[in-house]
Amino acid sequence: MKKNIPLAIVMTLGFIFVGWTVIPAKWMQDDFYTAFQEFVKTMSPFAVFLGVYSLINVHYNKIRMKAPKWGYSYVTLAGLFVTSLVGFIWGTQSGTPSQWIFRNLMMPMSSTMFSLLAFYMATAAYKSFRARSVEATVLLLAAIVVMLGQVPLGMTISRSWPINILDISQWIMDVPNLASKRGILLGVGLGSVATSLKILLGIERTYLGGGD
Amino acid sequence: MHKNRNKSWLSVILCLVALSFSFGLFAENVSVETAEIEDFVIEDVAGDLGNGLILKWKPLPNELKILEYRIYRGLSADSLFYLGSVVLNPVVGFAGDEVTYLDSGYKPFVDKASPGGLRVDGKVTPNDEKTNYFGTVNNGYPRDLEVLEQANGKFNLIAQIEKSSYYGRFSPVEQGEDILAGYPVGNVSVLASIKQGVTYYYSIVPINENRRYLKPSEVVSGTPVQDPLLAPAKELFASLILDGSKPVDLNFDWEDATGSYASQKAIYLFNESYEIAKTYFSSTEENPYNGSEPFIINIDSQTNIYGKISVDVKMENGQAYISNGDQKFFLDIDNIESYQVAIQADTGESTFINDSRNEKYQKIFTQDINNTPRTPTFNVYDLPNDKGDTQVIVWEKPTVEITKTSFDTKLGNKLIVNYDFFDNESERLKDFTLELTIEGQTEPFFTHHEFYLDNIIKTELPEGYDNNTINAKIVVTTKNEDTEPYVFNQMLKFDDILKALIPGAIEKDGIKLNSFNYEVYAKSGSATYNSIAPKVVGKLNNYSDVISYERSLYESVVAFDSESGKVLVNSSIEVWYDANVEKSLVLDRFPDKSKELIAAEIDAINTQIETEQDAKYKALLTTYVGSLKELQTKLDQGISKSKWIKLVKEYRDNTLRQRSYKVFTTNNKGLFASYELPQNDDGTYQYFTPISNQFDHTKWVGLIASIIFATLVAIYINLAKKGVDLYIRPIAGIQEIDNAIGRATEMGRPILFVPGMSSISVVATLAALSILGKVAKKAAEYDTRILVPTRDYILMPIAQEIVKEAHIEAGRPDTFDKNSVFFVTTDQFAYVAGVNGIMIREKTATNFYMGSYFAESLLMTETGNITGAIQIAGTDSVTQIPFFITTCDYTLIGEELYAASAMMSKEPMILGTLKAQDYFKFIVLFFIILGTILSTSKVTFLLDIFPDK
Repeated sequence: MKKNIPLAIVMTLGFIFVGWTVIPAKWMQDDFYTAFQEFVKTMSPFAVFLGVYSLINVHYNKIRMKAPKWGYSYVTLAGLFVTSLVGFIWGTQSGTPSQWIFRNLMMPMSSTMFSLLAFYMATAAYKSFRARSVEATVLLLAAIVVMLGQVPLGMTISRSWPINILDISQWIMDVPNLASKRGILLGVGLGSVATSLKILLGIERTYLGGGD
Repeated sequence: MHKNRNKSWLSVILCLVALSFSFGLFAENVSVETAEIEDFVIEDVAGDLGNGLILKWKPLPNELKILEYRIYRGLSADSLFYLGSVVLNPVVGFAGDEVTYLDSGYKPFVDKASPGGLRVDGKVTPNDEKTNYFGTVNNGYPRDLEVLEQANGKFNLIAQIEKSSYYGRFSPVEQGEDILAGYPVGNVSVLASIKQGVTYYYSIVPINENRRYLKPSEVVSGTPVQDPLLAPAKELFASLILDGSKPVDLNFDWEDATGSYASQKAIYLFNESYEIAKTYFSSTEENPYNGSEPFIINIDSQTNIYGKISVDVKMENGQAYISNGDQKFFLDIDNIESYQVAIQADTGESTFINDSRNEKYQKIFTQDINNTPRTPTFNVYDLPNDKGDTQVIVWEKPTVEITKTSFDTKLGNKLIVNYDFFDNESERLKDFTLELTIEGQTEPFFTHHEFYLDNIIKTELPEGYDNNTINAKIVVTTKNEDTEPYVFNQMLKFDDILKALIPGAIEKDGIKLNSFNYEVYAKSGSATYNSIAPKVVGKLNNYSDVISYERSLYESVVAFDSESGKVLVNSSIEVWYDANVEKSLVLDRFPDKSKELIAAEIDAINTQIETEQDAKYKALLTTYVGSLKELQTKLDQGISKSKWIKLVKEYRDNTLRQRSYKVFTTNNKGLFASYELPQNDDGTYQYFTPISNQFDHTKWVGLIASIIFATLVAIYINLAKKGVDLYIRPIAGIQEIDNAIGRATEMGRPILFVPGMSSISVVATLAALSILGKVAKKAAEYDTRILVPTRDYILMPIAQEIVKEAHIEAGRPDTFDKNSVFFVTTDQFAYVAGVNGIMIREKTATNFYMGSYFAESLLMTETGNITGAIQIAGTDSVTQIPFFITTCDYTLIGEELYAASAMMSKEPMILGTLKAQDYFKFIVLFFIILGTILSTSKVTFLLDIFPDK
């Protein structure tokens, strides 16, 4: 019962949504879909409570158990409560403290995290381009050509060389790179259809909880 | 321990200091207290029907960082309700000397979101004790009929009622002798417009960027005045249309003055000088008009909404004339420029052709009929594969246009030609041939057959090419084999500034397609056409008319009635529109009253039948009376209110979405031609209703492919169940999962499992959850802690349940910790910070990254690399795969993510799907190779079978 009812719901809705993809009629696209969206909208807020409850519970337990570096849990909980409180009191419109927190705390911190990416990319590039094997050497050469193709230096070099480095760079991007990308995408597409089909036919049930 | 504790407390204190500092920034500037709005005035909007007032005031200094000016309006100075606001950017401020707000037209008045009772806006501090400011965020008036009753007769009110409520939620309310339809105030949204002669009171409340309400302005009143602009026509053009040398039409084309409510009454043609003709309209008894009588062409302003009129030019004894009944007006064709033309508005004011701003058009000029496309007819098509709200009006054949060119010196002396094509439901474009010829030469230097329409053609330029003009000839072939190819010409001229060949206007049959427009008119629910597309450029050959399904319906509000607790509207309702006789049937929402009305309608039609001369129309009217009588019988037999309104709804749904069309081609200077759909044999007009399609035919390929795939899955599952050994290529990343879990067990450290950044609705997340089930079971068997931080709060309880069940299956329910699967945050980088913190603090030995990832993948995996964890990733996000490969020990690429759980479980049911997937790939590959070969051989039928997207 615990699994059969959710499974029946998934299968029924799954087939309805297959229909939704191929049936453009008003009763399907407007009448059914609008009602369904309303239903989803109604459900979502309950899940938010679960998320917030989980967050509070995890950090409360950390503080209670004096888990390693439990002091940070105070910061997390303070952030949660202060942001929620100012949102509830002053609203979230432009000019409210909530927006100030977003602009002056949240955005700079997110940008800081994002900017770390540049440094990590440099180290990742260093790791991949070390010519330890034939494949890695090919990768290195391809990377050099593509990089030269993207910068003015590449154009300057091309003028004095008999071969056009920009053309080769473009060819690498358009042919081997695109071909492999499409190969992966093809696999992803089929894998995704297969997974959907497994769910639709009730073969795959892990998402219901309880392994297979 | 003490050290940690101190550090933690320090963090908390620092955080609190930062927050208190932040609130310190909200401290108010002193000038905010004294700032006051000055020069607040209210003026009537000139030239309107008495429904507009304009509010003007001097802006407050930009230093006050004003975010918005809230406008409050009321019927008395002591009760003002929120109306709307002027929103500013406090960083930029306001640059002008005066802020204005236009209170004109219908604005939201009360709706479902309005408060139930009067709510004083507590943030406004009135200047005097008497004035109250009502309403908060968006709504002024409450859903309180006692309050709303004050607005009766003081505003023009319109109720917006959702379709379901419109037909279902009304009840009869007696008002004197009338019975009105009353809707509960909670079921309607009301829009209001101010009314002439009523005095309204206004006040402005400024709000600064900290949402501090500043001192309100003084309360100022204003009364709208009805003073409609009645200006004569703005422009008038007159053309004598010649077919070769033969005069065929005398055309007049005018444009009404912007915002004018005047209608045009007649056109006057004078065989006089401008000076004499001008006196015709200003003549008095003392100063009479001395010229010859003009020829007058009357305009029916009710039916002529096009701004055009055409008069046939006939010939008699070699002399051209126009006639109006018995009156003949002979024209001297050779001196047509000497005639004067004027248009007179119903206000008496006139505009002469000489008043035109462009000197070229200050006379009757001659134009050739062949300079406008002569489309014999147009067709209306239902848009295929839609929900039934669009029909396409098609008047021309497919067009191909060169939109842009560029030189590619990088790849040699090449020219890149970008083109666009416009085909339509009548004829689908098949292919075209492009010929490029240098101006002055006869032989093209480039001939290309474009059979695959990818919007780009590349060509080598001829040697010695020196930015010469190029003539492009495009020969278009359509899929309709009965038609001849269409030829278009375009000139590509070199532009010295843009350093490119700029495409000129497209020419077809010697006509430049940019020299005229199409105008589309439709009639629906009445016999008069209305403009639906005023100017469609000449190169386009169709117009999509969207006829939306009604979601809300509008009715004028008669009154708010607190006694009945209803919003009252007139009970009459349009039941149907009969396209055959072009008549609307208006009855009542209540069957009893409808019974009386339909009897009167039948009588009126019967009278019309008796006097009707046109036999065809008479027959149609007779049929129409028959349908009216059928309806009368239903009403006479006794029908409940609910059944009656259900019947009305059915009639309305079936008949009120019909449309008939008319198309004009015009150069807007007197050369025009109009096309109407041919009438049916019985004399009725052709009306069209969009069709709601039940199947999207572009989805056939996808559906068939899915069925084939499902069949393959079923076959291989059966084979697997029968014990046939299905070989699946081993994947290192999957084989290493067990070892990675074992490593964490040996090291006594936890496992981290990140289920991706997407929600539960993404298939990759579902695949990640499948893997989580297997990993969690193994971890439970080894008694190793698994941490699952989630970004989606809907995903969290599902992941919790999966891990819990995995522990139960492993026989270790006691080791399941609910808090090991937890929600972190929905914000992308905050989530990364959280996960990275967990890696560092918990020193996880094994990290799994499964699902969809974006820019954050490298941030997480590099941190895991630094902490020395063994990392296994699996994603279908193509752009993140290189990062995972670089930083993780094993990576499941694309489809391997979906295969992982199947390979780990080794269940025949799941292995069967993997095998089916592989064989289906063979089918896809077969079509790719076949398509490549056929396309290279210019055979495109296979391409046409597969949808573009």
